[in-house]
Amino acid sequence: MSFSAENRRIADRIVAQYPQSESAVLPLLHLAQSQDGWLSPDGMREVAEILGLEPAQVFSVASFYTMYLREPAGKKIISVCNNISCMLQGSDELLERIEHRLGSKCGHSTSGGEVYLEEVECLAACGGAPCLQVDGEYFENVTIEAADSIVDSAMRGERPEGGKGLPSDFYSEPLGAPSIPEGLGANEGEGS
Amino acid sequence: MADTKASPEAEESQASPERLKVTIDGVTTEVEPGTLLIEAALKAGKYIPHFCWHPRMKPVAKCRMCLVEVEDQRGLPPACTTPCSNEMVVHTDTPIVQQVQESVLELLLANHPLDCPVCDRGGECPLQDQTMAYGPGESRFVEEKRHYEKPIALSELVLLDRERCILCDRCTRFADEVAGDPLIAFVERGNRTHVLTFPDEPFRSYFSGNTIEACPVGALTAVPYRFKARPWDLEEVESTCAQCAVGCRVKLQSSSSRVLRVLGVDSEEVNQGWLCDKGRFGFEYLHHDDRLTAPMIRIDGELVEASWGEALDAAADGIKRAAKEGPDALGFLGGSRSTTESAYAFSKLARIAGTNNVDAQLGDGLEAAFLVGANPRASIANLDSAAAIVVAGPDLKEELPVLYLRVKQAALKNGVPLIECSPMQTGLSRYAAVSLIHRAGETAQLLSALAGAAQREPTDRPPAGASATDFQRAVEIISEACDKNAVVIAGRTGLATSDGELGASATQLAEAIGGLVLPVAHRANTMGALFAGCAPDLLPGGSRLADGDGGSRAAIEKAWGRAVPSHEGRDASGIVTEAARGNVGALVLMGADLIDDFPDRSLGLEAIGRTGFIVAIDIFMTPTAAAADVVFPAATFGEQSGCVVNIEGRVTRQVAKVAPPGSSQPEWYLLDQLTSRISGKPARWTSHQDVFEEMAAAAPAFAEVTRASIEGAKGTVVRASDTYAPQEIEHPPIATDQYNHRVIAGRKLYGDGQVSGRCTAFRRIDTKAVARLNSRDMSRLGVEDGVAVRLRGARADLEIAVMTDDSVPEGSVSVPFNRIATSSGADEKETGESALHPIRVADLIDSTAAVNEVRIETLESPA
Repeated sequence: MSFSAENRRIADRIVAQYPQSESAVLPLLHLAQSQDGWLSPDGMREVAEILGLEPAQVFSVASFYTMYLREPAGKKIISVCNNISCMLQGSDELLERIEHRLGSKCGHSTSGGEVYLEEVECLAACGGAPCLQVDGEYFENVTIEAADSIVDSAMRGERPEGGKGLPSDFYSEPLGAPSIPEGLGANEGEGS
Repeated sequence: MADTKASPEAEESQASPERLKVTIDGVTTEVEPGTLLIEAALKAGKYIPHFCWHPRMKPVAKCRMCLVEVEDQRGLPPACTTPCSNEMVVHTDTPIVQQVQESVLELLLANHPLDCPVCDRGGECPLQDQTMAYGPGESRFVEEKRHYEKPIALSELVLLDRERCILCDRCTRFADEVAGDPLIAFVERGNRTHVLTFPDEPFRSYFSGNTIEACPVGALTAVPYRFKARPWDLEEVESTCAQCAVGCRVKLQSSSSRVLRVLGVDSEEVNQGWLCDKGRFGFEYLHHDDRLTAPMIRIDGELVEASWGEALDAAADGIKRAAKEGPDALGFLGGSRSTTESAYAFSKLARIAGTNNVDAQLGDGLEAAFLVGANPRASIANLDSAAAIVVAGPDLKEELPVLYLRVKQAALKNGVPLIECSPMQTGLSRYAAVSLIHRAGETAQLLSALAGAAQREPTDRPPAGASATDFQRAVEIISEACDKNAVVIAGRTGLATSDGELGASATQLAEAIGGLVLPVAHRANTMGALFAGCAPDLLPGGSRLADGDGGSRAAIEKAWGRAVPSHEGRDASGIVTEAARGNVGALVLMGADLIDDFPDRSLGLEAIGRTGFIVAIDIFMTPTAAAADVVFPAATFGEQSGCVVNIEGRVTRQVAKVAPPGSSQPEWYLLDQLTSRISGKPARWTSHQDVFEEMAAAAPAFAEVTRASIEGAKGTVVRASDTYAPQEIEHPPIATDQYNHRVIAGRKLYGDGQVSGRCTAFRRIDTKAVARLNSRDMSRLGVEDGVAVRLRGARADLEIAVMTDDSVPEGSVSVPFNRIATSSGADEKETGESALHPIRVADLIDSTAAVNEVRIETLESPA
């Protein structure tokens, strides 16, 4: 990958926020992941280059955190919270509904590589339970109907409506076609 | 080992030396403030078990093995991160500490495979030893252990068995903190944490082998040593590395008369325990089948094996015959690859044969008088606390890697401002406060201008195309560093430029800022050979020949029983130039290859072709030796004992460990025989010690260098009898041609030389030669990376692939001197010769010119 012009500007802005540029490694990795749908070796290499680090140092950080996906995943990532508040408010049903609607299981991508679905630990939005994220954007009090429309938009590659806004510079609109190679729709390994 | 930062606080505490009293297991000792408990314990003779702590790296307290009990402190602090405080009382072997040690080892071994019988480290393994000494005896873990693919190659030289790793962080810290190449890191987390490189980016650090030695288990192993020996089968001697002129101290280990491993020795003065990979792994050539094993003489155009007696007679006859034509009919080149004893014997033979035409440098160094007599001379350790360091020389990372580590450490850890004066960016550039990049071959002008500016001589514009801002910044730094022991490191910046006045201008700069000079040379014992008198203007001991009837000359003539010739001798360039004109009757070459290891290859070829009689003393049949009339097989590093002198003038010992192949002999032996045949006096020496004693008696500078004083790692520093005082410097103007590219021809660490080319360890390392050009020049030429272009030089054309590299300034081209470029040569100017030998960068170079330029032409694309 290489950062789009817009994302490169965002990256420079993020770097400028820190007294030591290497502090920007986590946000830049989020940015790289959101552009591609996953964190590719080229993405890590580019982050290393921007920050004047060796790729191995970036790899070390990226592999520590489960939120970075180092295998090709769907273009859009839906993360459904499964912690207590959300569970009490029906997150299990929500997840089941989304799996059904997507036609793929949690921890996998849709066969066309449009969406990757994962279950995540507390998203710290218990007041709006059940909640989920699409590429980091929060969706709260998600009903079954809302979930359907979120899934449909995501499958079309669009940013679903009703969200709370992209959380920060760390995330960008995904670019281009799904990055997932053909035949990799059923991604192995448990998500998160 | 505590950091000695030159901060005001540190100076204050030095002014009032406050010592701390610490009691460890009943032993009371006094330590400096800042000393870590683990260091204090070692001082008190108490070993605290540890894995992650390393005396040359920052402590991280990862392994938890060094937990100790401190009275009046809660919990058990790790001794490696706990600084001593006054009246501290520490216990390292109470029941609670023992219990913790057992637990830590049980946990460290939870996943360790205990495959000691098949592990290289078995028998010398800290984990094995400490498990025996402090371990629980048995484990309560019954679960299956971690498995990994084994081994994986981190690089061409280092293998990793991840299941053995205890995650001590030593290798990764070394790579980042010491080598500055953080190419390995911890990846994944929790139970799956392991050490790895980035995918497809191997651990290609010039210092990677140090991680193997630092590894406290058998996780990291060396490709050349894996499964070769068990530690208890190895014998070892301490010696000095022969790969470059830093002179790192090493342990040379062998079994059944084969060198199997080289390890670093921690010498504070020189290498602080580290080695470069060339020094560590570059020994396999010793046992290569190509080694010469018997003397050879040329009969009817063919080199055939001969007895030592025949070969010595033939060589002596040839030299005597040529000597009748006068001193300039003889040329003696070499010595810088030999021990100082052998170099002394070489210098003596030249003088006994009647000539001063002797040179240890092959037109690739600096003035001999400067190298031996630089004054005031810096030591390597002076770099640590220098007020500033000016580097005007080769890329230290490529040519003198362990010196590079020391300079880097001074800049990064001690905050010493570094000024780099180089024709292109080097390995040190990222640590430099200022990189004064300038036109190749004009470094001396730049140093003189800096010297002038430091003495407030106004300069309107810096010379050599250096940036005015950078120059100003450099002047500020050196002015600030005046009279505070700044160090000027001076060496040849490249082989395509003559750097004629560099020694003089470096001295001038050091004088101007009240600093020290550290001259650097390339080959391991260049300094020793020059100190032994292998230079036209020097006598053994580094005294000036021209100074005539002084004490040293008299002492030498007394020792030799012969007058030293008084004609003005020629240096290597002079000898080879005259030989190429057919004016030299006999050349004696000791480890000197005029074809593949001389900056001007066409001149070297011509000289070899037109010299009537050539004696080659070498370890391989080099192209030069193949053209010789008499060839002697020499013993080399690890096969003969003697002393060597490093860039500081430090004399240390090289020690023989294995037998040389065939009937190879130390050079001093055969040189003594030749001297005897030429002088008609009996041979004098039966051992290298006899040579040393004669040299010490003949050369006053060596008077204080006794056998005892050079026994250890520290050795002893020798000073030349005559110090170097440059004449008035005149910088001849150098014309620039904007249509041409100035050639920068430096050496790379790994080349295709006679020695490195025969080390299997380096075989898989890519040593393809490419020409490096600035991106603007690349687009001006309209070529892309990997495309071949033609470099049209004064001497020859060279077809070579280009690569974009913005560390090369516009208008210059960087080519590696010691790598083979291409052997196409279909339309070479020369015929015959170029078909015989692969094309080398040295083919391009005219060593008689101050600078070399080439015109770069694109090749017509094949239709």
